Amino acid sequence: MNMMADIFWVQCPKCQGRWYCEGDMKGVSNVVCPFCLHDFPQEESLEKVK
Amino acid sequence: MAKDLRSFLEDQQRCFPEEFLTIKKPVDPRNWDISAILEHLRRQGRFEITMFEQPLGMNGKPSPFRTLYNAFATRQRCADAIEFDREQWKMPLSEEFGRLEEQVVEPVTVAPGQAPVKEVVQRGEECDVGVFPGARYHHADIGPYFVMTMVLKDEEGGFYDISFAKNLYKGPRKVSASLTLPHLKRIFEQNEKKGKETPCIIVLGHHPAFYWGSLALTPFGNDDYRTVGAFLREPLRLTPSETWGSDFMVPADAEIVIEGVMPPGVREVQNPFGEISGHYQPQMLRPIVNVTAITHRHDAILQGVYPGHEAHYNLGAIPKEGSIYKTCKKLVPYVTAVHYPHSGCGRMSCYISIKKRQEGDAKRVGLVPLVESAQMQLVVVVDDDIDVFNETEVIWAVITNAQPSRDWDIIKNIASIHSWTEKVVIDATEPLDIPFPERIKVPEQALERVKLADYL
Repeated sequence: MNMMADIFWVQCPKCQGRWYCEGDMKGVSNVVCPFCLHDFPQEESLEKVK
Repeated sequence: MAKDLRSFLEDQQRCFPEEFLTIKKPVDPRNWDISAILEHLRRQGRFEITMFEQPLGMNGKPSPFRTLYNAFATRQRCADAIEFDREQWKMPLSEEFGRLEEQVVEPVTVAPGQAPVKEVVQRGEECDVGVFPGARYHHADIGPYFVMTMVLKDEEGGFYDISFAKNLYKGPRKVSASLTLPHLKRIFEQNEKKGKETPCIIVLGHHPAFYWGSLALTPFGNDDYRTVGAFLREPLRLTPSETWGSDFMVPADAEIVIEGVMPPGVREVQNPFGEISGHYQPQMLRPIVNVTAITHRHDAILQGVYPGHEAHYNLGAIPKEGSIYKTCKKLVPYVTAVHYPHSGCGRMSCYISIKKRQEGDAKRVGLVPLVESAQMQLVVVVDDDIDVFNETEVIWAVITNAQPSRDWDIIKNIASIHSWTEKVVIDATEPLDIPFPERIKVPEQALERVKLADYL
């Protein structure tokens, strides 16, 4: 019964903060850390994007 | 005098002064001060209308504006907003919403000089949305947001759609536009396909009935300014915008109106944001609004909703209860009440009571809310002696009346918000086709005869 959102987790290389992104963003754009506002390519995420 | 946020607050302070709280000390809404105060109150079961007198703006400087929360936090207050008896806060209130959503009252036009929202007018480079006290509510929110309504106009149909939306502060003249709700999204995408920018306004404070009108379950193509009039019980006053003149009308009695355009083909990052479901909505790419003008009252009040809590739940629940009750009644007249409880965030679960006539009645009714909303996950149907507004009674009925293998139906492969999922309908009515124990009760005759006051 869960909402089954399509998401992937990322981790900021600057502050190590973790959060998740909508599946449609995968490979499309940079992500922005909500904790330190560091803007970085998904490849730099400390948590492998999968 | 036209109804506005101030007239509502004056009525509330006069009639229910104990339900009004003023926070005089400075607060920093970017740094979770507002949500921390609202959360402390909530944990004490307190839901006063809460006015913050000295917030910082999103630019970090003291804001010249106040900000207000909890206008929608109790069902009694929601009844007050539409001039309905607050003692009738259960099903009669929901039915009244269902009745009002079928009505329209034509708006009237007033000159800008008669519109309080035009007391201060800023255009182009003068604009700075950072002066307003938008807030960050939960630990992973990416920044401060406005959480009220946007208005878009469908050029071809000539109608205005008002829907709740959130806007992330992205700079003095830029905010994001969440456009989660389908009507706003549809208008934007129609324009985008033609390579056209989409004019929009953000309404940050008005009489609560303005917002209730925006939540009526009306079809695409409905002019929501007319529906708002039904909820206000008087014509909504409109005035020409600064950016488009009379081609795009704005509410004259609002506190703050931000005008802007959404360019086609542009998406920027917004979120995470703590949402209605109690989870963070993921980071995503969404359209942006380039601000063209800001108009507001001299001492404007920025209205906000504490997301993922009581006010947010009520905003979803009450209009849906009234609408679903009407739909159910048309199909199956033995429905007696409908409730969208806070445990389901006012959107994702539904309790329905029926005067059962035969086995299968509950299943038939239970499918209706699943069809109405992709968000709905769980429907429980009970007998009419169960108060659907009392969750303890509903769960008692599930535990004592329902046999999972027979009475719980899993509906597989049904559309949800994101893709597809499984949903559940539980028939928690007493079975009629097998011998079943009787529910305990104190005799009604004894309850009437014995007056409590005589014994205390």
